[in-house]
Amino acid sequence: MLQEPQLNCFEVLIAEKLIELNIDYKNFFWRAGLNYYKSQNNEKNIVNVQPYYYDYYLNKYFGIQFIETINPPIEEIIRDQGEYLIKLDYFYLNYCHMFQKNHHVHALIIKVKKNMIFVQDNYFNYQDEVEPELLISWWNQSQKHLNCKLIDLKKAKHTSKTISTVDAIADNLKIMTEAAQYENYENYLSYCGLSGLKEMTTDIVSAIRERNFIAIDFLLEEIDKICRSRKQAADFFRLRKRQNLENEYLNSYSKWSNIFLTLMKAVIAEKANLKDIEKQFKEIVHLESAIIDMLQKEFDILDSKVRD
Amino acid sequence: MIKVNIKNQFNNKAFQCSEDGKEVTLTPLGSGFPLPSANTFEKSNYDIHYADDLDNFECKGNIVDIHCSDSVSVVRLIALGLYGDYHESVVIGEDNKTTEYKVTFPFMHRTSLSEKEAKLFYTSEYVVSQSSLSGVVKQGISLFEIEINLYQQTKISFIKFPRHLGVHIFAITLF
Repeated sequence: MLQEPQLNCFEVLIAEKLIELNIDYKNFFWRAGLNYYKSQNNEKNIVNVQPYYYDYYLNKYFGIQFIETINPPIEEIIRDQGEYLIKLDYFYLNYCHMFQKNHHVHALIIKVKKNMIFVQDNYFNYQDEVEPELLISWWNQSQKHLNCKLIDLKKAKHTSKTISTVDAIADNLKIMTEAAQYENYENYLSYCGLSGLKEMTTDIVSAIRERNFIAIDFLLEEIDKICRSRKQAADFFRLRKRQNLENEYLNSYSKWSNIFLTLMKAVIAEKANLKDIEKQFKEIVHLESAIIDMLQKEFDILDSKVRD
Repeated sequence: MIKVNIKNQFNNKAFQCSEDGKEVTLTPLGSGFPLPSANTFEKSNYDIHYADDLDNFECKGNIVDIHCSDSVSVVRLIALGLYGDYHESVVIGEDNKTTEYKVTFPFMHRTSLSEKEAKLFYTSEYVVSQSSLSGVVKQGISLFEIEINLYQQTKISFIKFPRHLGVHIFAITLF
């Protein structure tokens, strides 16, 4: 079972599917953007690191159709053989340590065979056969707190399995510099790239000053998302032998990891060293800005070679 | 072989000291290694202080002074990366110069390694966790032996570790 800390519970399942199709998953996870969505009515602020959801990219690059249904009757689905990615609430998963602790969406694979359900959960390192009744109970109870999703990934057509390095560089540049790349959400103000980063920094510093550690706790998951995306980009550029970009993304991953850990400790202890946090964000703004410059330079060189 | 005494750097507790001990603080949420069986590390080349009040240090840019008149060619660390594989710089200092080495600190939940950057040193099949209802999590957790091959025989006067709160050092031995 694949276990990679730079992939979340859902991404690691997509990676498993890509491996099954003989595709190196590192060619799929490389988008390290940043768009900060600031709620106008006290909802959780959000960060996106890529403009579209995985369904768009799976179809675009690998011709994989992502068929998602919300809250379908699971007892009907499991009457026939099949393999699906499902999303439910890990509060009800009795095999994992988040059982009966917190409500949160979680992804796993189910394989239905001869009236038995084989469950594969890479994130919690669990695989076993479970009775259909147990899965049905997980599914139905989860719907009290969130929408359960059933995802069927189907290879629909033959398309190129690789993306050009120049396109990946161009896209990573755009998703840090062009606000129009990202969709707008109702009741949210949207800030792209460095302005998103600066806005997020201001909000975190204010939250620390006001001792609003709940607001920081909400942002931890988003910071983790940014952090993992930088490692994914480093792995991609390592694969493409672009060592300077690999190193810059690794530096960024290192700094974001430190920010994540510093804020996590602050949330637990309910105290923080404001000067240290401000310094770390100042460094990350500088580094992300240097990555943008490097992407621009690399793109200009590669693009001129392509045109020659 | 020189086992470096790093006890004065320790700021963290990764190993449980008794079967039901709740002193573990390897992760901020209070997870870590269960009490190892006796003599687990006795014959190794490293001093692992699992029974002490503190047994490792979280890297905050620590400088470890080395008091040794011999030259060495290899520095080996027992270490781990908390939430990922971390690629950081370790600086080896001599009297009149410093040299930076890139080091990978593997993710603690790895129980096998594909690359040769580090070796598994010790693996527990489960994690003790203060945030779990049962107190344990069925997930492997490892310590890694990381080798820094010096460019030449060196009389080391200090080792400077990165500022990375996810990197934890348990032991240092020079060869």
